[in-house]
Amino acid sequence: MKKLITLLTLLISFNVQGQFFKELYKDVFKYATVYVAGDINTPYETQRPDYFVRTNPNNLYAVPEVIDNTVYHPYDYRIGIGIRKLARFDYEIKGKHYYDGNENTKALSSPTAAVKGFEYLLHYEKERERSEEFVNSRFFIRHTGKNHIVKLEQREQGNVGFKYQSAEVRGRLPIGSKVSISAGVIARSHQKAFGYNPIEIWLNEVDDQGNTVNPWYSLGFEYGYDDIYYSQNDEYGNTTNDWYWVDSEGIVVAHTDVQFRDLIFGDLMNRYNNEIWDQLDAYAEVAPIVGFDVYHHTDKFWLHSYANWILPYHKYFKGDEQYSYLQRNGWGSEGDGDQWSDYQFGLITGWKLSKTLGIFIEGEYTKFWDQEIYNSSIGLNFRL
Amino acid sequence: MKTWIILLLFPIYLNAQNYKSDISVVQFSAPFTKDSEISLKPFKDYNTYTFCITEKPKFFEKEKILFLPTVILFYNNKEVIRFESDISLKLPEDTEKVLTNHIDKIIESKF
Repeated sequence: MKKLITLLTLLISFNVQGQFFKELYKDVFKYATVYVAGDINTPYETQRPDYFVRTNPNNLYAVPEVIDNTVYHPYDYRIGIGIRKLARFDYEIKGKHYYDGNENTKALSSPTAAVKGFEYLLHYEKERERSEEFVNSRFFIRHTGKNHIVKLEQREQGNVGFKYQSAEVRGRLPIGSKVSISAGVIARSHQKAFGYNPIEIWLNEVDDQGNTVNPWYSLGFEYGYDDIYYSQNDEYGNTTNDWYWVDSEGIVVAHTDVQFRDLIFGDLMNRYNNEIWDQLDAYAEVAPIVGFDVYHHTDKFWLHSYANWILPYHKYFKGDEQYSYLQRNGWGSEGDGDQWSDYQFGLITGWKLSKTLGIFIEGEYTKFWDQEIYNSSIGLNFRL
Repeated sequence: MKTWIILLLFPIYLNAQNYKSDISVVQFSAPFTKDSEISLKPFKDYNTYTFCITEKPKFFEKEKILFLPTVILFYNNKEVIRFESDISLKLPEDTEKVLTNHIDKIIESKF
């Protein structure tokens, strides 16, 4: 009897598990594509080679040796691995017979999806461009239901130093089958202290009398340089007064203040900024978000417009708030700061006016913090 | 002002007669064929509509419905497949299965 009960329990258990895995496959993995892809391309090459002449120091008039000084980069490559389950909207055409991770689909930016349920993209790649190697990655997971949208995203673009993470939860209200509005909350992170320019603040600091607290040359002193005053008279009676500059080892690096500004000061400004920026941790903030989506498609006319508006009620929960974007009009201060709106909208429309004539418009605009990203295209096709 | 009115009315225009938009499973029936209808619950992830001939006779005329009940699968305003009941007012037994297969093919084409 015991054995029979055990057997029955096992059978039920296997059946339940089997059903569970069947559902899991159907909901999560069905239609997903696993890909490994790469490409190799000819590297950038200057239009004309650069040459220089190597001079024999012992004989300036000997036949010179001409040296090819052109930078020859090794081939560019990209190799990536990923799994994707992203539905295309009906107006989107699969560009190739295969996926290689280079696809840019509207599913990644529009608030709602072409299908309900799970969609995701997990992509990791390594690339080399002009001899420099980078790592890029994108992890995107979204679940769209009739009345909800849950989205997680992480993106890293190595060649531009871009790193971004976000998580959002929204309630969704469909209005008919073609329009939906949504509202919820979004948490986002950003690496950069947007708009924060430490050197500008340092140089512009003034005391109560309006005098500069940190004169420009004091930045040189901060990095071990020193300026030495000199005055000289030439044989015609002209007098020159200036400051020449030496580094920490006493080596002359500039003969005048102007030369120091031209040759050294720019690098010091960047060095100062980088040192201050490196001290700041990544930021993360949370804010309410609303959005809408309109989608209509027929063979002759399609329209997909969407918008996301992150409302001006941002609350930082990670990073030094004194230098957060909230304090952009008064760096270093504390308090509520100045709120701002972030938004994104897109429009894709196409109209085949006749068998031979069609007009197509696509565009997307994103404003996040002080960053603006936009792209647009318009086309008029007339087939003869 | 005119532009705003057009913009506000545009979604309403788009939603008009939208029972054929995207993936839609539409059942055309009548009070006396209630028992012969199939359940549209398995297709809840898509648009589902059940029209009664006494309430929406125009749709029946427009879709040239000759048998009751009739189930039609539409995709982007185009008819994909139609299931018509036989003389005993019964839909084919495999209606749900065939419908699912057709919807699967449509979904697959999006990935």
